[in-house]
Amino acid sequence: MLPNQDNSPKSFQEYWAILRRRRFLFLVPFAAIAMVSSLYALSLPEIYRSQATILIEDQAIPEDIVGATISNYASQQIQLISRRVLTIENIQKVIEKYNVYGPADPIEPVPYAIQANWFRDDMDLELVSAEVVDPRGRASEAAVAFTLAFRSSEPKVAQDVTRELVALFLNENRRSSGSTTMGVSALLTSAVESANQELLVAETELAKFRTENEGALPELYQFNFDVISRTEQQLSDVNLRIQELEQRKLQLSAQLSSISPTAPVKLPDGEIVVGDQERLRASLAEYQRKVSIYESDHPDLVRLRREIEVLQKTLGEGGTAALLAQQLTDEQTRLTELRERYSSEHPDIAAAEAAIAELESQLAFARRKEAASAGSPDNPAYVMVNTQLQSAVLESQSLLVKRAELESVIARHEALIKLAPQIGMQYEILSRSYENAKTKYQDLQAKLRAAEVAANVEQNITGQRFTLIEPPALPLTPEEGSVASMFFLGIVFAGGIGVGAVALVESADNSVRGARELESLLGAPPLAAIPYIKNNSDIRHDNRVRLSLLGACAGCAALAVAYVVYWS
Amino acid sequence: MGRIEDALIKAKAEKLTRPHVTAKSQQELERQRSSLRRHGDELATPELPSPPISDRRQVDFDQLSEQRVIAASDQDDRVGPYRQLRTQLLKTMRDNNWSSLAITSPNEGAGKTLTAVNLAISLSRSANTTVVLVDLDLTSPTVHQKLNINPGKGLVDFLEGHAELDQVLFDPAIDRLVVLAGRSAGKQSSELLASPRMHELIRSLRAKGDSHIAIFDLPPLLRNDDAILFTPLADATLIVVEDGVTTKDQLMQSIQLLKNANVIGTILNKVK
Repeated sequence: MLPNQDNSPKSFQEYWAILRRRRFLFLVPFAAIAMVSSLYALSLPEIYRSQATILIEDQAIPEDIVGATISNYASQQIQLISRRVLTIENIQKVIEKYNVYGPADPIEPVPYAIQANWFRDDMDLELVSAEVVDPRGRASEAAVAFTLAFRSSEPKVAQDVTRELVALFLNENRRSSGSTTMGVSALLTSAVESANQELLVAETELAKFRTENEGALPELYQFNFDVISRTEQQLSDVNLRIQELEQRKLQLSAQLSSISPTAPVKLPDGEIVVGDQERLRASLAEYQRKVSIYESDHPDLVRLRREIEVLQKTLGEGGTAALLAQQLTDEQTRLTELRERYSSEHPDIAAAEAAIAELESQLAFARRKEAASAGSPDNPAYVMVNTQLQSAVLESQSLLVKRAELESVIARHEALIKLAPQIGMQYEILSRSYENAKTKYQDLQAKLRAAEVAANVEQNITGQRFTLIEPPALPLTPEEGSVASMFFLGIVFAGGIGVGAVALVESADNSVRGARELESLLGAPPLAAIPYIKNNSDIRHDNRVRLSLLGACAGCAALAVAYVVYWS
Repeated sequence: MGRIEDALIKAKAEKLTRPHVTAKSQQELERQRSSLRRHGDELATPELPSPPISDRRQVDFDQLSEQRVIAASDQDDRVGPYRQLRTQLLKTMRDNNWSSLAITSPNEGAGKTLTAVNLAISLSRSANTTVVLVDLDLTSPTVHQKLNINPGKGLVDFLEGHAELDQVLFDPAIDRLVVLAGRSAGKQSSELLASPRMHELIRSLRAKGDSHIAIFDLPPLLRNDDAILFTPLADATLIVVEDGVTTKDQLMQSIQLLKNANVIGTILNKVK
C-alpha cells in the first residue's frame, strides 16, 4: 500500500513550524555562507573610477532622418567609432602600457581576447542627451556628448587608461572616413545608367509596335467589331436603296419612252400644232404601215412620199434616220429578190449593193446628227421625267461607289480582328519586358539614393568634431556600492541555500508528522496526542545546547569584528 | 484471576513488612493495611509468608519523573492526554466487555513502553479498576526499569515453568496496579508466547471480568513476530506512532501486519 502524500497547501504556520523544527539545518549553512561571503565582500579591493566627457560639435542632422530617431543616430555613430577604436590590438597596447591587469603570467598567459573582455567590462561609454530643436522646428532629444570611464583598483591606472582612451577616440575622429560607401555609389550609378538604356529601348519598341499594329491591338477589338457591324448595317441599307433605284430607273425609262421630248405647240385658239418632226414621224409611221398593204403607186403612198420629201427638206439634209432606215430596208428587200432571180454578177445586184452601202453610211450620219441635234426637249412632262431619271441614275452611281467603300471598310476591319490574337500576344511580351525594365530601373534608383544617403551620413560623422570638455580626474575615493551589494548578495544566497537544505530534507522526510497527517493516512485521528515528556536530563541537555549556541554566535561575532578592525 | 489475587496479596504483605523509605503518610499505610485485611478475610490466609529474596525498592515520584513516568502525579499538567485516553478506553472496553489491551508500535523507541506504563497508572487511578501491566517484550523488557523495580525473575521464567506467578508479580506502590515484569530471554520468544502457560495466564486474566484490565506491552512490530502472534489473543490493540520518526511506510505496513488483531486506534507520541 502506498503511503498517502499530504499534498494540501501548507499554511504559514506549518511552514514556520517546519523552519523551527529544522532551524539548525537552516542556520548552520546560512551562517557559514553568510560569513564566508561577508568576508569575501570585505576582502574585495576597492575600485576607483575615472571619467572624461567629450562633446560632439556641429551635429548636422541629415534631413532624411526623422526626429524620433535622432538619439539612435548619435549612438550609432558612437558605436561605429568605438568599434574602430576598441580593437583587441589597441586594447592590448593600452593594457601593456599601463600594466592594467598585473604582470603577465609567464607559464600560462591569459589570452588577449579574455583580457580585452575584462577591459571592455571595466570600461564605460555612455551618451549624454539633451534637448535640441531639429531642422523642422520640433524639440527632441539628441546626444550632444558622451562620457568615457575606466575602473581599476589603482586610481592612477584608472586615470591614465581613461586619458589614453580619450586620445584614441579623438584621433580616430580626426581621420577621414574610408570610401567604401563612395565605391558602392559609383557602382550603382553605372548600373542605373544601363538600366535606363534598357528601359528606353523597351519603350521605343513598344511604341513602334503600337503604331504598326494600331488597329489590331486587342484593346481595339471591340471597336473593330462595332465598326463592322455598323458598316454592315449601312451596307445593307445601301443595297436596298440601289435596288429601289434600279426599279425606279426602269419605271422612269418606260415612262419616258412614251412621252415626246417636244411638246406640241398650242395656238391661241386651242389648236395644237404638230411639229415638223412629229409630222414626219407620223408620216413615216403611216407609210410604213401602208407600204405593206398597198402597191407603190397607191395615191396614199404617193401622197405620203411627197409629204415625207417636203418635211425632210424642211428639216435638213439627207432625211431622217428613220426614213433612211426605211429606205435601207426596202433596198435590202429588193436585193434579196434580185439575188433570187439573178446571179451575183448581175449589174443590178451591184447597183443595189452600192445603194445599200450609201444608205447605210447616210443612215449612220443621220443618226449621229439626230442624236446631236435632238434639240433640247421642251416637253415639261418629258423634262420632269427625264430629270427624275437622270437623278436616279446619278444617285445609283454614287451609291455603287459608296457600296464599294463600305465593303472595303468591312473587309479591312475583319482582317484586323483576325490579326488581334497574335498581335495581342506579341504586345503582351513587349509590354512585359517594358515593365520589367522599368521596375529594375526604379529599384536601382532607390538603391542609389540610399547609398548616397549612407555616404552622406558617413561624411557627417567625420564632419563632426569631438572636443574634450572634461578631462579624466584622479579618483580619490573608491566607487561605492560594490561591497554592500556583494554582502547583500551573500546574505540572499546563504538564505537560499539554507532554505534549500531545509526543503530538500523536508521533502525526503517520509515520517508521519502531526495528528492531521495520521488522520489523513488512517482515516481516523489518534486517540491521543502525547507531547514529548522531558525529564531532568533532557532539560540539562537543552540548556547545554542553548549555551553552546550562544557561545558560537558570540565567537563568530568577535571574529568578525576583529577581522573588520584588522582590515580597515 | 484467583492466583493473581493471591499473589497480589502476598506481594503487598511482603512490602508491608519492610520499613518505608519514601514519605508516605500514616494514613496511606493504614489504608493499605485495612485493604489487605479485607482481602485477607476473603481468602482466609492470615499468615503472611516471608518475603522473597528479590531486590525491590520503594518507587518514588522523583525517580518516576526521571523515567518520564508522570501519570502518578496529580499536579503534573502533562498527564492530561493520558487521562483523556484513559476515559475513552475505559468506556470502549466496558462497552465491549473487553479486558485486555495490547500496545505496540511500528518502530523501536516509539515510546510504547512508557505509554503503556503511564496509561496503566492512569487507568489504575480510576477507582474501580485493577490494572495488570504485563511486560511481553521478551528480548529487552523495560517496564521494570521505568518503575524502578529490579525483578529477580520475569515472565519468561513463568512461561518456561521455572517460576510461579507470585514470583513474577510486583507491586509498584501504586494502588490497584500490578506489574508482571519481564526478564531478557533469548531467542525462543515467539514460541513462549504461544505456550499453554501463556494461554492459561490470559484466560485467568480474562476470567475476572469488569474490574480488571490487563495491559500488554509488546515489542515493536517490525522487530519480530511476537506482536503479530500475540495481538489476536488480546481484546484490543493500540498502535503507538512516534511523531516525526515513524515513517508512513512503517505505519501502513504495521496496519497490514495487524489485520488479524482488533486495532482500536493509534496514539501519537513524542509530539514536539
